[in-house]
Amino acid sequence: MSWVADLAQGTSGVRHAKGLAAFERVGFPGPRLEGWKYTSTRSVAKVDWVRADVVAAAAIDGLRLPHAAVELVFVDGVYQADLSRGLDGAPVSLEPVAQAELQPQHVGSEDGFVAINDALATEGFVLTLGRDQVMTAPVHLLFLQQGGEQPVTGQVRLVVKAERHSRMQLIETHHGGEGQTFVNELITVQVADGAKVQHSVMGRLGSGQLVHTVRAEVGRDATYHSHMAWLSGSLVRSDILARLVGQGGHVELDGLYVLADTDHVDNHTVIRHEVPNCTSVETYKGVVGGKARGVFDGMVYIAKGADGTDSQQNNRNILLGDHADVKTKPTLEIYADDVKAAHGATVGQLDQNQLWYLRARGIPKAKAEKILTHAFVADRVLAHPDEAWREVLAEAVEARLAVLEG
Amino acid sequence: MLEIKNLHASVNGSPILRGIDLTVNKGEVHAIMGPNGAGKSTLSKVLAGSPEYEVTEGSVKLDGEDLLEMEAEERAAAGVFMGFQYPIEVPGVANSYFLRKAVNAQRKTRGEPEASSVEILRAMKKAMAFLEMDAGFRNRPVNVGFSGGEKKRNEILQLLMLNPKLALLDETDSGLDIDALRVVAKGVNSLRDPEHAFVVVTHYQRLLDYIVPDVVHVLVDGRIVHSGPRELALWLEEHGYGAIKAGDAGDAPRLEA
Ligand SMILES: Nc1ncnc2c1ncn2[C@@H]1O[C@H](COP(=O)(O)OP(=O)(O)OP(=O)(O)O)[C@@H](O)[C@H]1O
Ligand SMILES: [Mg+2]
Repeated sequence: MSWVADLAQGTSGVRHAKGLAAFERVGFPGPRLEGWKYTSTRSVAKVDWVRADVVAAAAIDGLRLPHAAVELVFVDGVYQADLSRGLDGAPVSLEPVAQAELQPQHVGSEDGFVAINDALATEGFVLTLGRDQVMTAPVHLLFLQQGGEQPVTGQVRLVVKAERHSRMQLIETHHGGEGQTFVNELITVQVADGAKVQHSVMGRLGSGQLVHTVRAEVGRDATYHSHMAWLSGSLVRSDILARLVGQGGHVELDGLYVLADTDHVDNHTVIRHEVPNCTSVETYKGVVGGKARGVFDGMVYIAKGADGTDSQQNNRNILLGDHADVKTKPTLEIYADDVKAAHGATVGQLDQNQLWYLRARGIPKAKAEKILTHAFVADRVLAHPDEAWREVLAEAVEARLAVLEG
Repeated sequence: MLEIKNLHASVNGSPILRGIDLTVNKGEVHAIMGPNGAGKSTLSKVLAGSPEYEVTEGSVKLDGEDLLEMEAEERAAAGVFMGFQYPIEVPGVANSYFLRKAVNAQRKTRGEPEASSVEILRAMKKAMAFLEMDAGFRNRPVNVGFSGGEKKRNEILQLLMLNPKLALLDETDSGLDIDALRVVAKGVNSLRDPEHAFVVVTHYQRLLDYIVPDVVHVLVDGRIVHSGPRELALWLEEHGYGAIKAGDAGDAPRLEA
């Protein structure tokens, strides 16, 4: 019996039962699935995980975001009420998922991790921002994987509802250490007509493992902007499905990964244009060194009838050294008319002409390489509209690049 | 200052420079002219240390030191500057940041104390005003989207900031309008003194009205085939390279032996 069935004992309710049944049908995703060709799930499947618990304390002081309006803290996937703050009088309403009636998300898909989440998730919240509400300060979801004596896992479920014409900024930070840990988070985001959600994620997971699944639905004239920065992790799977379901909707997916050592980050994104006259822009950039592997598997799907779609997708990578590895697979499927769609991907080394120019001005080679690598990723940091967050991110990126450059 | 002897260089095994001899003394300005593809840019790049070319024979000394033994960045710190015929665009790196890094990298290599950001910024503002460059160029990424003339002006800005003892200017005049040409020449002339030397590659004698050379060389097929006084440039403008290429310089002005 797998650990999933073990941990499912003691849960009740329709969603859990359906999730477990679904998981037992599909199991852990494996290489037989096109979307999992480059990522092995053995390090998650073959471990006897136990559920994490509420902790007495955790070293999170340096991880807080001072400019956040609300800060929800999770340690190894378990919500920590005592460490969280800003809940009283928060502009968003927060309902614990344990009390909410959630629909199973695993509906006929092959996604084993969504099924596991359906089966096991008891942690997390339904965050609702009411009509016309504008939040300027972000909601911070602070995740720390610190581990313990046994391998611990946490299943987190978040539901974000931005009602009509509201504006919300959500920042998730995922921190890891050296323990054997695994968090499986599923976050559904509903962006109602005219609303705008800015959803940012930064992962510095170390030996921690994370499967992070986003299911976003974008209404008429609404915007969903996702900004992902993966800066280490022994296994990160970032899965995004963003559906444009109302005319005039806009989806923007920005991504950045800076990987060293034996990091493994698999970005799997799908943008579905289901109605006419929507736009999407996806820009992912990676710098991969050491023995790390970075994956970008991005699909833009333009359904029949989604005429007047405008979509751009781009993935660029710099490989440092001979042992790093990047797999990039941008795909475009168009079934509509009058569509503007461009996509492309590159994997390469630093530009030799630029390197020569810097050296000709007296900048030593190693330093010049550093400057050019920073320049390559800097525009992804700048793509974020929140200055306070940009500063945090820039510092984290800097630190990771320093590791990469030795 | 610069002593080049029998310099041969090739790219992917095919020879381009085939025995260059050239001596440039402190305080002098040398112009190099010659037909397209003769090897003028190659000579500049080889001297600046481009990794593209392989030196197969000969020697180059800068104030007695073996230049060919040095990496490009060491040559820059030793005082060699090449103004690029085609300046490179560097997205994501602001002009001011680039200059700050370059100035301080050179100082560090020379064992000098680094300059503060404030000092460098002040010098940059001054040089930009002198070159009639808009302040906006400070924060723009290096050369990205600059017009041809703006790129050349930016090269001269770097020249002024880095203050090298030997400047190799590869067609810094091409693509410049008349005002820009004047400004660029003003920049170069501001550095002219008994300690600096210049090698100016150009196709147009017009530049030499502004930057008056001590010597003009004609480079053909990887060799300097003729050298003369400033008047040689005027003569070339009238007669072209045909006769000199054919080995018959006729009445072309030449240097007294
Ligand atoms: N990296 C290279 N790879 C291949 N060929 C090269 C390379 N660099 C120079 N060459 C060749 O060497 C010859 C000399 O080129 P160079 O650029 O030095 O000429 P030039 O005298 O500067 O010409 P122009 O007046 O057109 O600028 C040319 O035939 C050119 O094609
Ligand atoms: Mg040339």
